[in-house]
Amino acid sequence: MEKQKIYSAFDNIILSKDSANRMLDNILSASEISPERKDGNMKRIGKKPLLIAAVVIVMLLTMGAVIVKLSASDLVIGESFFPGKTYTDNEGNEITIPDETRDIISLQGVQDSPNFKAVQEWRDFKDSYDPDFTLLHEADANGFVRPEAYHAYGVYTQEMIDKVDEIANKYGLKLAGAITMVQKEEKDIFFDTLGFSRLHREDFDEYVSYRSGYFYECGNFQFNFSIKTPNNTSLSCDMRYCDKAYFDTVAFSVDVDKTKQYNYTTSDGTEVLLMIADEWARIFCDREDAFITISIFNFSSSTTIALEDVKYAADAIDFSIKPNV
Amino acid sequence: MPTLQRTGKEITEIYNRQVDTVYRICFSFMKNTADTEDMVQETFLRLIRSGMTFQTEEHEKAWLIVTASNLCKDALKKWWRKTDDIESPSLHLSTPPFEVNHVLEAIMELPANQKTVLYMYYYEGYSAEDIAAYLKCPASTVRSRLSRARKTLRHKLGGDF
Repeated sequence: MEKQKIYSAFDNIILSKDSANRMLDNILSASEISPERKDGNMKRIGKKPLLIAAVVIVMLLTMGAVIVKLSASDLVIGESFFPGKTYTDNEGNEITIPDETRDIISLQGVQDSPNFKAVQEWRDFKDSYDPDFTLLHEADANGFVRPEAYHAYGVYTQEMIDKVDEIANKYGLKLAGAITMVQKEEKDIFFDTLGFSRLHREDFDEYVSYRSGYFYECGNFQFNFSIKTPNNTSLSCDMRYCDKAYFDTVAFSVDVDKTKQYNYTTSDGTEVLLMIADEWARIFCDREDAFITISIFNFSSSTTIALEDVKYAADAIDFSIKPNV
Repeated sequence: MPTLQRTGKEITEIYNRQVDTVYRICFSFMKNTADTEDMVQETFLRLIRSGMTFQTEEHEKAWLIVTASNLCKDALKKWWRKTDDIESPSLHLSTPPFEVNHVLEAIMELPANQKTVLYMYYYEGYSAEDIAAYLKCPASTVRSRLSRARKTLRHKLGGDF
């Protein structure tokens, strides 16, 4: 009886599918999984679309369209194939996720920038490197310990370390350095170390609540916080800051055609790109010295995220911050 | 323990296999869904960044249970230091989408080391010897914690509760 009641008590604790999916997305994002490592089958974007894009850009420039706003196509590094899977959910229903090809988006800068070229070159290297994971298993067997300075790059051989150095030198970029993880109770460490007191604009104080994240020695960081909007929607936001002086390799996979995109000027005059899918949104801000990305999920429900809520989040966030390390 | 960088597919497989377990143990410590989700994510990130590999899925599960318990204990300790007299985050921070009955409430109030062995013994079915190996303590200590946990539950809930 005692045993059964203890078992039943624990068994009452049930994780919803929505929460499980959201946490997995956060984990994969925070663990900086290279998209091509998700299936080891990353493909480069075809030359024809690039040629068409180049022709369109030349036409726009010759027509006098001098204001170039950020577009998702400016950030596309390539494509990656994600194989589908079938699993059984908590209610015993069999769920099938079909195969999908997604675009790989740079979170460092637009095409032709040193940061974009560096991440593209790194991904090209990794695409063909150790395809059957032989070296990975060797590293595992030999107890390879990744040097702290290379934590951001997921290296597991000296050859990979050398490649990181080669690409960073080629594009004049520095390494991000050691990582520090920060839990909710330690958020003062994050703010004190990076030299600012918040990531949001002052007039949104009462609507923003900080949680956890991590930062690198160079000041690049990712930090999670929630924003409560006037619609009473609680948005979970992960802010990712990438200083363009440093080599960063994290990318984002998405089928761009399945998203809606909007150029938006925030209430403080910052130009951003909003990308909205069914259950998530991203805000991209391309500064001269840094590239900032906000990943947004709707905490309040599993319904779609409203454009006005995303605009509210964009207005609430301080895109002018710069870590002082 | 050797290091291994996993692919996103491997991480997803481990996550799908073990997330319910990690969520249960974290909720029994944190008592609200928001903090529980923080700890679940932190546990899996710790696994990914540690590069730990396991001989069996049972070892994998035990490592996650122990790691999740330790992370929760650390988080609560730091939280306690900052809030003095408040024992743990409020249940009302975020209402869980499931029933927290009186037995679960009583379990959640147990000391951390008793809660972990209770979960591993009664819910996951590990023997006291296995738990001792995973927690790196004598089996007699595990039995003693189980005994104290049962005594506390009987005292709070009465009889065979």
